[in-house]
Amino acid sequence: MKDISEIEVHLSHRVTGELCSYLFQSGVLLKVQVGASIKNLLCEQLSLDKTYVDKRISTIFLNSQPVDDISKAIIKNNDTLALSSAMPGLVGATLRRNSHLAPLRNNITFKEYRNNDDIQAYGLIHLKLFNLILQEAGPFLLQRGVVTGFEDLIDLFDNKMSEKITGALDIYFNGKKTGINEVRRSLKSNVEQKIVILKIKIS
Amino acid sequence: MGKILRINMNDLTAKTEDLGEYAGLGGRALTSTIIAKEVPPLCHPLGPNNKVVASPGLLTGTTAASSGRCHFGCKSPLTGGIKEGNSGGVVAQKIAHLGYCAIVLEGLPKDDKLRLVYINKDKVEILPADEFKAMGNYQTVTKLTERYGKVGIISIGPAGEQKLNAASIAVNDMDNRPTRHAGRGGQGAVMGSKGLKAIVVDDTGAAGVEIKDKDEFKKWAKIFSDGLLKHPVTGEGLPTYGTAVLINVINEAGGLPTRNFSSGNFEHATNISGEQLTENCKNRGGKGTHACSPGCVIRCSNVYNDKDGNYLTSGLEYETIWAFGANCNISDLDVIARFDRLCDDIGLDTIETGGTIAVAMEGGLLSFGDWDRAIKLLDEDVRNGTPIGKIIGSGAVVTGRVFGITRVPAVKGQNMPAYDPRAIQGIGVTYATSTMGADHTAGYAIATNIMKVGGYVDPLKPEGQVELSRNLQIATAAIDSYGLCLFTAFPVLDQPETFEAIYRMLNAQYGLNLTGDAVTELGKNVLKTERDFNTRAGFTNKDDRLPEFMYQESLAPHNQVFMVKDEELDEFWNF
Repeated sequence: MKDISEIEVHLSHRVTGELCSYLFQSGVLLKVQVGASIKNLLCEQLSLDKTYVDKRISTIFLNSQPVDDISKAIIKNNDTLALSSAMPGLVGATLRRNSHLAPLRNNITFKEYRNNDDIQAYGLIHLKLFNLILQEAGPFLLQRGVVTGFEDLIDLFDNKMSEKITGALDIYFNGKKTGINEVRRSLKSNVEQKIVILKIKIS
Repeated sequence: MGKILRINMNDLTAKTEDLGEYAGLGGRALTSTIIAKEVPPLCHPLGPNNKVVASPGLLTGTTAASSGRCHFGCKSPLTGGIKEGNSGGVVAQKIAHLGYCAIVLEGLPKDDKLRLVYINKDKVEILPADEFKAMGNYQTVTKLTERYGKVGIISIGPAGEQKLNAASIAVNDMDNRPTRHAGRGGQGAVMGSKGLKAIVVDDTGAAGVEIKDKDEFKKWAKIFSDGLLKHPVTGEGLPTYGTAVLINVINEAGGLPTRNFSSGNFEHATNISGEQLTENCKNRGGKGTHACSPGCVIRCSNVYNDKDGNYLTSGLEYETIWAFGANCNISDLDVIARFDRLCDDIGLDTIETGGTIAVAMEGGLLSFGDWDRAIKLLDEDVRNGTPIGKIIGSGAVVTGRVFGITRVPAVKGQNMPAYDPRAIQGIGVTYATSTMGADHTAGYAIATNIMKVGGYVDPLKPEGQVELSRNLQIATAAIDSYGLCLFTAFPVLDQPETFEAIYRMLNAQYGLNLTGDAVTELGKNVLKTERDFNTRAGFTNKDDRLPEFMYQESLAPHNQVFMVKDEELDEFWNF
């Protein structure tokens, strides 16, 4: 993946929050070591605090299946992982990890648990963040860098976040300081390159 | 508290009487008990023998946090069974302050005149209100406020006056807007059948609620409030995003009913999510957090402005966003907010109405996603009572019959809310067995295991869904009787002292010695009372079933049909 272009955008805290909202609700790609458990991924690979993961990320889906035991749920290449805080409502409570209401969603619960990690080569997973997790972990992960599709990024720069991105403090394209219009041009002239690494620096 | 106010719309009289045999009851327990005892189960819901009961909960009017729910009950014109629905707003506390446990509306008027009732500490007046005919709730509240000042207002819109099955009862909020509704089951139609446009409740100078042991009450009220504020759902998640925070999560679970329950995933869910709603509120000068009633510390409501910063609606909730959003294939929050405003003004249940529009879309009356036509259907047809408007206003089942649609997601005549039971099968048990028809609030998350409310259920037992649903419905019926917001169930679930605070507050208020067991017993009694009414109204176990298509059509992405067996559903009532 060394030939993938990298864009680093310097944004204010507030605009970073809005960018997180746009990116993580739909999901971004993350380059991770697959074959690891969700717990390993979150705590070791993504360096999220263990207590935060245990207490705060109380609702987790792996490929749309609610997960109870994150230390035994193994991530595979191309998986979709979604993270949420505790949700309201009967169904929201039902979907929580290790909820005593888990029987109410037994038919969709993740059950393919394995006792040991089998960490393999790097792969890409789709990561979605919702609600409080989006607010809290999103900026941290965005500073580490995420992989986004070219077309999504062009759409983001041209439409959804155009005004905000245009007001960015600094933009670097493959390490070279440049302007937003130059980034747009570069993206559109390299459409055969499907993905790009996006990093944020909060200024 | 201790009085019942009976208003007879036939002879236009009002009388006050002691609680008598209803002593110790409030909220849903009181509305359902009065309906079960006094309304003939086989009567026509819009006829002279039906009644509408409005009742604050047992804790309403005190300083107990989030205890301001106003409960309404009747025989439902939508389901044909007993109905309880509750609402936030300012009126419940005012009723309690005046010393009333319930207001009971009885009889039918001898003419077709419209009337309103004015209640204060000194008098009850039944007054002419023909000038309010066909008036929307917003204008009604504005005009009544000009006349009476800062009061609590219960009102109906044009849908209620037309006696439509989907008609709601509105309550004004703290900003004096008619945005809080007892929506489900067509209770507005029953109020409309009695020729009653509004009830104005003025508690100026009222004595307030008596507390036997004020220090003890204050102590436990603080523990209760602290419990709500420190819990991540009620203290942080709900105030930050409101109930719409569920859109993304339920969609991810594959349980967000889309295009009339034909899929569990809506591809544009992020456009209508709670996260997006919060940003819109923040960027447009609205309010991302807002209390629906005085003393609510959860503050999960909102004020939603349009792109120019002008007020559009308030209390834009998960169910409404789903009903007009994913279910109708509409992905513009501003458009959905307009639907919410219209429903509040016309006096329609957003769940039933959104569900009905989706059925009409499937039936070809309009296309999925055609919001412009859908807006006109409500604003022109339903509001003005055109033939097609009356069909839409009669709910999903009627509309499905008119258009020959088999995929009508209803139980006991009531359209399902925003969780597909093929993805989350346990909610299907509640939809099927609830005395109310398909209802997401009937069985709520309370401490079934932790507090042993209703007995322990083995969480690893896959067939435990019926038992869990039963315990949840029992607990919900109890919570509904105290006037508490159902969202208080979350801290009660996780924090034993918050649960204890509920019956400790009751003990301090009324001089009682209740224990946690009383919660269970009250809930059981309410359910049995409601079940008994429905049985006498002609319901059998065959009505405790989901619609046929849910057993036949699998739902993406999990490709599941509803699998809970009939025999298991029938076990629900074995308690």
